[in-house]
Amino acid sequence: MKNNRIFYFISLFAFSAFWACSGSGDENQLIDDESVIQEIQLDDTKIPQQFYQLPSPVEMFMFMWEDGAPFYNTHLNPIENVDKYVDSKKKSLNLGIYSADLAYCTVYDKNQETMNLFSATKKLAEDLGLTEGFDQSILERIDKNIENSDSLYRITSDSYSKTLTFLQSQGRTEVLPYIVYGGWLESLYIATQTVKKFNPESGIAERINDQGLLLENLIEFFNAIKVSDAYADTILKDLNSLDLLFKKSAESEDGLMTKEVYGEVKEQVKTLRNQIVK
Amino acid sequence: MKNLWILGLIAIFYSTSAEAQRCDKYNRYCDAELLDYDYSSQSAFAFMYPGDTIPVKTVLYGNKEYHITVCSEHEGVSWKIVEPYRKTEKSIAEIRRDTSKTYKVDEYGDFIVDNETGDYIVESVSFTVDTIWNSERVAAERLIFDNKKANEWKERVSKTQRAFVYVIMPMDSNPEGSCVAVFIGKNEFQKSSFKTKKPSGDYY
Repeated sequence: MKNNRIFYFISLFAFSAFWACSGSGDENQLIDDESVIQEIQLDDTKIPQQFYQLPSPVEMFMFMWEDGAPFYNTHLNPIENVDKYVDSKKKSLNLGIYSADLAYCTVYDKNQETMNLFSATKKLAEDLGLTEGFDQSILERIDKNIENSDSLYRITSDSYSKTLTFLQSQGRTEVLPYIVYGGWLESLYIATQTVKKFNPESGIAERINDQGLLLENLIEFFNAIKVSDAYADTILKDLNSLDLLFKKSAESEDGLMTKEVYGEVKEQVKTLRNQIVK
Repeated sequence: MKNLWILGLIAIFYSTSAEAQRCDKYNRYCDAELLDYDYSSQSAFAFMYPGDTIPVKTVLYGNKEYHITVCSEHEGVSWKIVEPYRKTEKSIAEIRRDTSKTYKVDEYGDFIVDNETGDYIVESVSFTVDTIWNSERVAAERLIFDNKKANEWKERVSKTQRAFVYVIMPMDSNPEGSCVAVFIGKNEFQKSSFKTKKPSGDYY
């Protein structure tokens, strides 16, 4: 139990580096008629910060692993691509992509891939000045535990934990939404590429359909970025377009995703993901 | 001497700022009882001043059990969980009123003309009122929990949903600010506890 507790402390912030995302509090809340809500009418001046949280990609991969989905290393972003990314936004997006790939490999016990991906992730993190969590000692720990999947899982989580602390303490919120978006998109890309025969009532179809709710958080997160730029505007436009597809399912009678909508989501996700990794 | 004062003030300012940014040092101030859940994914840490409200917008996956608790350096912090949803609101766009008349006809089906006025003779007048509705999808929130009775929420979520945790720092809290931790934990964390199924031929 004590060990478990220590483990939870260690992993407490795991992955939240990328998925616990905070934004400025300039969003108007449309609050309705529920009585208790009146007590928490939001005054913008009293909202110093908003947090837009997404379940981490590891949860998608855990689900797939538990569901018996096979692993395909062809779905990973090749580590050779890491040198292609020059500007900070592209680096942030691909840090998210590689982080999701890293999670995919650790969940599926692909230890050598984990090691390689950690190096690529480390490079991008360093380029972005996110040195904490990706230092040499972590790399050495991975090397020592290359045969132990559970340890690798914990070590990679630990590195994310340190990154979170670093990002938050440095107020580096300008990179967070991009990292979160990259990670979320990669997990959705891997999930949709893995499904070969779509069954709207299957667990994985439901989990893919659920991503519409994560997407809503992500859109709000990007909307909350005060200083918008071409990158943010383009991403927001892409996300809104994807959101329209998910809304088709959400507003259907049974709430299930149809094969046609799934096909459109799969194609759009593939296009967006490939634009980022190229 | 004056410089020393200024340096001292700067030091205090920076130490306060640093403290503000390190609210993730959970064990410094938080007594919340964490369970054997995974709190890593969506927990949030913030520094709040009196009167501040912080929304933590989360997504809870279906068929999972969640544990949400909030702790703060200030004991009287209040928090709530609400579920956002969309509902359809109807409003009247237009009311159309039509009047239609039927006229008297003779045995041959021709309209009968009033000899005095020269107009057709009205047999009956009917009024129809047609209401055109506007249908609009609006965002609303439904209360799931507030911490008046307990300081933790533990529930199995049946269907994936968004959930917003609102944390409100009372006006009587420390004017210099207080750390707050919002723990959002999901059960099933250790990978070794998972059992994988054989690949399903249906869709993989």
